[in-house]
Amino acid sequence: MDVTRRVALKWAGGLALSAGALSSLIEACGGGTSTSTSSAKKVTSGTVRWRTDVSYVISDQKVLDAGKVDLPKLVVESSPVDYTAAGFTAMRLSIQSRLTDLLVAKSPKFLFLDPLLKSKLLRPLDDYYEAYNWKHYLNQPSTKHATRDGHIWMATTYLELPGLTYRKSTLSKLGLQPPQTWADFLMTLQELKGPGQIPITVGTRGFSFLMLLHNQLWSGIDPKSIEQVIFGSGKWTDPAPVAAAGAMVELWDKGYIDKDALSIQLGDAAERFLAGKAALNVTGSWFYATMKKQLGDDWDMLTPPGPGGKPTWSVGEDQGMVIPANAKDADAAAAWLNYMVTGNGVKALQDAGNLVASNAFSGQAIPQVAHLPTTTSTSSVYLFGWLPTATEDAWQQGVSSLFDKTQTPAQWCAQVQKAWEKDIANGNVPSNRGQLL
Amino acid sequence: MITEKRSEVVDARRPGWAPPTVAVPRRLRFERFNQTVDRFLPYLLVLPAAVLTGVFILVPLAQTIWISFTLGAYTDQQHFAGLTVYQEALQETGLPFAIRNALVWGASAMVLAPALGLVSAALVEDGPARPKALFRFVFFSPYLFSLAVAGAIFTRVYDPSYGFIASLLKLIGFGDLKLQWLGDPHLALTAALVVFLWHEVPFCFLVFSAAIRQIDRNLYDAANVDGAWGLQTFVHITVPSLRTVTTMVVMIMLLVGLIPFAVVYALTFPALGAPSYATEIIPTMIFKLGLLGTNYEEAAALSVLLLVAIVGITLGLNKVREWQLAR
Repeated sequence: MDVTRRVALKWAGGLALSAGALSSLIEACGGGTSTSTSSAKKVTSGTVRWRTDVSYVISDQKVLDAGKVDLPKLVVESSPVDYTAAGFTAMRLSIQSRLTDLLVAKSPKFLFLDPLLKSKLLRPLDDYYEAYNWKHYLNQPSTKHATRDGHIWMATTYLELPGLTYRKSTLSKLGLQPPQTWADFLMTLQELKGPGQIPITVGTRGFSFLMLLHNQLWSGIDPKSIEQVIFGSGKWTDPAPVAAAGAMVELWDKGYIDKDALSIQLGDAAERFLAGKAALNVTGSWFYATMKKQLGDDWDMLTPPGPGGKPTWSVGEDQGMVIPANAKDADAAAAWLNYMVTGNGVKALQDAGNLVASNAFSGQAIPQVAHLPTTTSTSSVYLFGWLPTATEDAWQQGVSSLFDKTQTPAQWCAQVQKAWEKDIANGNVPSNRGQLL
Repeated sequence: MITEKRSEVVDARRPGWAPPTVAVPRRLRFERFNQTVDRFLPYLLVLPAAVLTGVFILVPLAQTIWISFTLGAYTDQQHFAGLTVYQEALQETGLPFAIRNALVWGASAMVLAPALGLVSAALVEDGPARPKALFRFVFFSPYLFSLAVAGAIFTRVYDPSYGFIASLLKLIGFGDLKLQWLGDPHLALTAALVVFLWHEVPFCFLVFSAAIRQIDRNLYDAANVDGAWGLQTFVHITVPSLRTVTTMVVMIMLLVGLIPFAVVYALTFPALGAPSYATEIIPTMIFKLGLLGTNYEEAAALSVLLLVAIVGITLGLNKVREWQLAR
């Protein structure tokens, strides 16, 4: 064999190897997804690669620790993909690359159930719902929200409840009670405004948690209006969301909202609240654990009334788990999910101060949590957080323009509505969402 | 003739027949081998890089271009959609802001970073500052941090109540000013640009510093004899001597300045480009649409447009450079 042929053969070999590598890569990036499903089995052993939201790492570690005792034959590994920073694409690739068997897909209404279904990446959970009797533990609205084409695709594990946290001692010293009317609320804030104390602090840099305040004021004006936007033909330009935006502007103009709010993050706001520099902090149920640890029993949460309305808690799904269609061991994944729906995993999460979606240990919740709404119809008035991406961007980008008066509340709401319509057109919001109610 | 040829064929089939051999000298064979190796070796050496480039750049690039002309990417309903996606991408609310910011950012990067780098390099290399090594380190040290880390550091520096700048303002009696560096749409871009310059000026400093040391010292000595000092030697000797290097630094800074994603990411994630699109740039739009979200098609279209713009600018700058060298 002469040199030319030898070199030619090497070239051919190299190209073949390259083609092989390329096809492997392509397979990993898109072609490796199996849509086959096996019949559901209840198991207690196997290996699960699990991925949740980074913000729940501490709680999740507690669940892992409890699970090691209760399910010793079930090996639960943390999947290496962190899709908090890279969103849906990382999620999709982690499934297609078979790096995870059980993962969080955020809220079933908007993020990211529909895009995952559009890409045919998920396995229906109906059989597991049946086998493990999850319907008995998980609230009906959440299950409905996670249903498409007659199949259940997600099991909700966490709920989220936005609110204004306060120290009980701060309010009692001033002889105040959680406000019941808008006038009450303004009076309370005026009382709380003093030297060295900000009435309301909120982190807005990076992600504006004013979204929670707007949501609460909106539900405090007309909760049905939120429901109509999510599930019906309601618009962001309806009177209630515009009035809620106007109420936020009023609070800002009267100096009740931290003037640093536009530059600080959620953690900075929490520090201000915990250090006693702010009386109220716009946050949510994920903050329970920190308050429980740092303030003992001297804390609680209120939801503000909107102008002309009354306080109405808005609660909804925060985190739901899905099982990929190509999961290596779907039964083991379901067993681990079951532990977080019916087993001691729920208790571990609840003990850490979380608002869990399951009623498995509802009688044992901490007092601040026990009286809060966690189920049924109120979950449908929830709009915070996991808005579809275009809507969220429009919301986030525009909100500061309300305060420097470059946009009116009506203009801002119109901008959000435009993005909302785009999300509906792109399939990020289910077009037949009326059926989810 | 035909008969003779037939007989040759027959002969060739005869057992024991062998074609007449021509003895090739060993040296000649070795030379042929060398020639063959010479011909293929470059291809062999380039092959790994070519494969990597193909797999990680050309294939994704082709895929991106294809996606930008389709709808329904990553689903079984993907179909060709012509320029529809481009039309939609051009109507994105954030795009005018992103273009404006790209122009401001590109111009600042192109002018301010090289200018500051050049002046600081001249001050260190030609000035009285001693020890020079210490000053070199001080000026260069910000470059040791990644842009993302620089961004993270500055989020603390910019805290309106407890940040470094707020403390300085408090010291001089402006404690109530509380500038919302990252929260005020009128200040946010400037604040982000400062982080970028803080990080990139040291690079320019390093390049100019090395280039200044290459300038013939006799030129300065001659100028000094003629009575020229300080600013005069800087303007009439240093700056003209660094013309080629300056062009290169300006080009690099412009290209870096067009995609300052890391700074904006560190300062504004997850609401990238906030507040009110004040720090929006095309890469953040692409990231939000195609990675955080599911609008791959528009993200792909914007990526293609950005690529075309960058290639165009690079070619233009190369022409300028060639023209300058030819002068």
